[in-house]
Amino acid sequence: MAESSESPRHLLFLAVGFPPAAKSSTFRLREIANQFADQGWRVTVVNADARMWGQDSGLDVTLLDGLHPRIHRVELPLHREDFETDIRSFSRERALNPTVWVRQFRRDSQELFPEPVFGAWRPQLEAVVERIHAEDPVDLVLASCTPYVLMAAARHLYETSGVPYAIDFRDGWSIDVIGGEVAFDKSSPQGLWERRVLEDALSLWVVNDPIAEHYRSRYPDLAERIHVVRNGFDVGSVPPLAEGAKRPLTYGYLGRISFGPELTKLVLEAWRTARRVDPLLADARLEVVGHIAAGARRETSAVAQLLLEAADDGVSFSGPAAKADVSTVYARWDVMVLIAVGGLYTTTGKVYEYAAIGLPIVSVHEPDHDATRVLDGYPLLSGPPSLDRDAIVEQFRRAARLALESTDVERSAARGFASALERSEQMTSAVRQLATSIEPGARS
Amino acid sequence: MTSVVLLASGQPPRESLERVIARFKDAGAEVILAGMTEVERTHADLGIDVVRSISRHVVTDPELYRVGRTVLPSQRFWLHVQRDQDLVERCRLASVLVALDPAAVYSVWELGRRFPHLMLRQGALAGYHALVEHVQEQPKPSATDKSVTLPRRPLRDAARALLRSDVALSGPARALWPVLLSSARLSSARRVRVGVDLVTRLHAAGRAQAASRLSHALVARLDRNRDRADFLGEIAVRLIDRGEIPPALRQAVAAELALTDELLESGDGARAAASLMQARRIAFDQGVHLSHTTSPLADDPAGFTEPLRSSSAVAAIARPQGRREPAALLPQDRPVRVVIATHGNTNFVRQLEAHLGEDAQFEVRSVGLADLGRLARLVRDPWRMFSSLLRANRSADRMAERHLRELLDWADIVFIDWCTALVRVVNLADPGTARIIVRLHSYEAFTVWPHLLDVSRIDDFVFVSEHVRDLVVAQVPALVAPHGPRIRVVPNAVDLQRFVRAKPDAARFTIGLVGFGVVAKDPRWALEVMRQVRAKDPRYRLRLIGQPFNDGFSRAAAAYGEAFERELALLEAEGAVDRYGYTDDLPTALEQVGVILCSSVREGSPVALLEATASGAVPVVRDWPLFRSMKHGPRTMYPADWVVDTPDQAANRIIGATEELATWRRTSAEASAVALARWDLAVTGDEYRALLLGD
Repeated sequence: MAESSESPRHLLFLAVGFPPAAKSSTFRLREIANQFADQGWRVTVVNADARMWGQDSGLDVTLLDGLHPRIHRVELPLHREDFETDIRSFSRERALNPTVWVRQFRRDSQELFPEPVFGAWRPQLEAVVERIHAEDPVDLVLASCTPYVLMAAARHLYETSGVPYAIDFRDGWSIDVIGGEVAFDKSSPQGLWERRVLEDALSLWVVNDPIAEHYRSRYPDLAERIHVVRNGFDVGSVPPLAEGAKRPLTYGYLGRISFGPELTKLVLEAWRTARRVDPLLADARLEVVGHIAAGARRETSAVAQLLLEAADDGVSFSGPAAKADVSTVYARWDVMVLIAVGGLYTTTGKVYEYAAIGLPIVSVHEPDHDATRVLDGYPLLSGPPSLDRDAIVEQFRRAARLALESTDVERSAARGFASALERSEQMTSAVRQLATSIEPGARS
Repeated sequence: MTSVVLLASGQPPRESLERVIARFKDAGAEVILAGMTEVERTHADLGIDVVRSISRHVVTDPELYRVGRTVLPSQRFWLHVQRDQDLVERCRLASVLVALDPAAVYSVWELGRRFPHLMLRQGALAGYHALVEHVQEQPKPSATDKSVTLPRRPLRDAARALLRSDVALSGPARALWPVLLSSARLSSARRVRVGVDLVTRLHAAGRAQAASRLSHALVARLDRNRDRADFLGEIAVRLIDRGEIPPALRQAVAAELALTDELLESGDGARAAASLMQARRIAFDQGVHLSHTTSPLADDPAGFTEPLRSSSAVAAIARPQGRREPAALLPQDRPVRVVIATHGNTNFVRQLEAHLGEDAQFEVRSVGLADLGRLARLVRDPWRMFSSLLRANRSADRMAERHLRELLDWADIVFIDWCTALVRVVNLADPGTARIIVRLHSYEAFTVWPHLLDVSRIDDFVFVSEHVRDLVVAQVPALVAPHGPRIRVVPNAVDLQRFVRAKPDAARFTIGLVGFGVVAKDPRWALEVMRQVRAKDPRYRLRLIGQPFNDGFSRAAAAYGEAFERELALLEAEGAVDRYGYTDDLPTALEQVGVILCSSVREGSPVALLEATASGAVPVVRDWPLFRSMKHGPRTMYPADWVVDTPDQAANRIIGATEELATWRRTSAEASAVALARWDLAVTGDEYRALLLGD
């Protein structure tokens, strides 16, 4: 900890998805806030309120454990109209054709900021940052996107009060990390906003090198301010090193379920085949744990349906696990199954945690995926990552052998591989650099 | 008990829903699932207290049928939900109402307006959270509380009970109903609803004459076309659902078409199209014409269909557009290009295609709905086409032009098999120089399509038999009017030679029935023949070749199927039946068959009969009753000795032709020779060749 004798500086952290939201970015946001607080800063976090998270990705109050006492949370009644499930609040037009209504709402919501759904939040966000700054002057604004409309609030305080800001882009806006294409032109409304915000930002953080490269080539003049701030695993999520596995084996996926029905079908087909052809897997189970879908489709989406239909194949889907229970879940598994969408520009936060557990890993994703780089050299990989059914079958089979035959030494070595991937390690340097770029008492 | 109603307009998920249902149950709630799909079959095992397939409980009354076509899916679902009074009542008594899919949201929203106490949610899990919220807000029940739900509308319920009692059908009450239902205090919708209920209940009680009198009296008191159409149409639908032929069916069709014409005249083409769909539905319901051994259309083809010929909307659909240029002479310097188009059933064109395919003079392209792109939607949902034609907006014409032009420009001849919606859709586009030939088999004579064709864009109309031509022309005289299409009669083209095989002597005691799965084949008549034959000689057995009886068409078909199976079981118990089942190898199945029985009430140009006859089975053909009033029929198609009128005559012919081996051999050979000489592909194929080449 690097406490300062100066009056603590004040970070306004715009972090929609901060605990207790059960969102995949939550852990990163919590770590950033904690590290700033550790650096002696007072941190005010602006987030959406519990009602919204109840409709969106859900709530996990255990995520609030371990928050630094200098962190103050401000929760706004931001509302995702598209996830509203109370039909009494619907207009007749919406009730008649909810799908068309949501499409129109997404268009209308971009009137104030070019981002579907969230663009409409701009006035509320600008008002709250103004109020917070008026009550307790802010030294630095850090906006962690998504949503990108948070940049408008950071920019607003910069333009009205001169408060400097930095952007944690995570996956980036102008790159479609799933499809690998440029998401919009420089001259588009989004392009103009991105350029305007980034050129005055103290720093731009992204989660991996390919995304950083995209931004460096798009904005060469800003290259020095672009930093890779990777995600990592949380020590508290890692159970004690397990003894060697015994049959029946348990395979597991834990994380937000963002993959679609096609990928789910592929995994299930491969799983069924592996169980049929390999006696080691004949009695194996595959447990899927995580949040699935939002709004009206929550837990009844097509993917949930596919997983539940596969119960006879030893597949179970049990919904989300609280952060506090994650290590218990991992402790009962013998093989980790990493299922990820996207490619070169995508890392997925879960890959760090998977590596830290020290179990064999089955990798179901594009070979040219950033997760491949993270796991390069991991000793208990069951094979090269693939989206080919037969290759996945082979991975399931090889993982069974690795689980049953790997020694304590090999599993310890696997854990050792991940030691540098611990979340706080990944972030310390970037946070320190940004924190120290603001001189104590620099605010007017 | 707290209850939750889940509404689904589409097929709800199973496993994921089961998880949420378990949570509802854990919270102590009663769960009711109501859906438009067959949830009573698919979801009954999920631990739900009440599962309700709405379509099983809601009669698709005329208004629902008409309006349902012109509104959003969510409104269509609501039209069903609000008609399901039991479901609405359950919703009223519930605490939480859940829409399981987007199209169910509107119904939940509407029910919420009626019942302000309900919590309304979209999504099963959201519904569960609402339930938890509701339970937390409720005061704990005391030990003396009783979970009895009292009716909240006692007067209304009492009135309904009285109406449903037998008293309402008694003689004195029946005399009062016309007067009571004329009361100005009754809304017309109520008047129709009560009237329909009374008339159908009288029918159910076996009092057809009283029902008819009451119906007649009430119609006289209904001023508007809509009310008359609703009243007569719903009675018709309900009686058809009960497996009966409605006595006032023609009047119901006329009333609906009067409404169609009124809507058209008022400029509402879309609703006129929906009304025309309703008229088509009741006039040509399979439960009427294809599920009984009689048909009001066959009895009086001109009279039954007169309302169609009088309708301005039908005339507007069939209005001759003419063609820009006549069909061109066939090319001499290249093969003749023939498109053979079907809506899906290719049973009768495969051999013709193969026959033409072997002839270097022809180049053949086969076209089905899958080749028509979005145009196929007009075939599958004719309302879209009717709506465009009646609004005269030409959108259907443009669509047809877009999707058919390349085909019509390529083809010298377009041969459309089956006179279905596909013909009318092809009619939408100018044929260019292509010659359009349409072939009608038999069942289409009991559909609306011959009435709706643009005959100015058809060059040749082919019937597979003369009696079918008689039946269709009686309904649609425009077909034979001056400047209409050339009318031809050419039987189906079938390769009969492949059926000629040696039969063992014992085959003469096996009577074959090929294809017996529908009422039109009247297999019960065949069983009667069997009973009579076996009474004289128990060596005779029946071989049933084909799919089992399909009782899913209608209530009437189901009733027929039950009776057939019952009678068949008795013969089976005597060892007199061989259920051969469906086969791809009919020649082999027929090797053991010595007699082929055609027990049908309706046929066009029956292929299996000729195949079996060619194989050497002695033909015994019933004089098809549905065509008995026609000038032509089996007696003009086949040699006189093949045809019989009654089971008794059939039994006599069978015994007479098979009793002696030599007689059977001789009769068999003669019949086979006749079949081959007249109907084999070598002959009929040439007839089609001549038809196409215009020889």
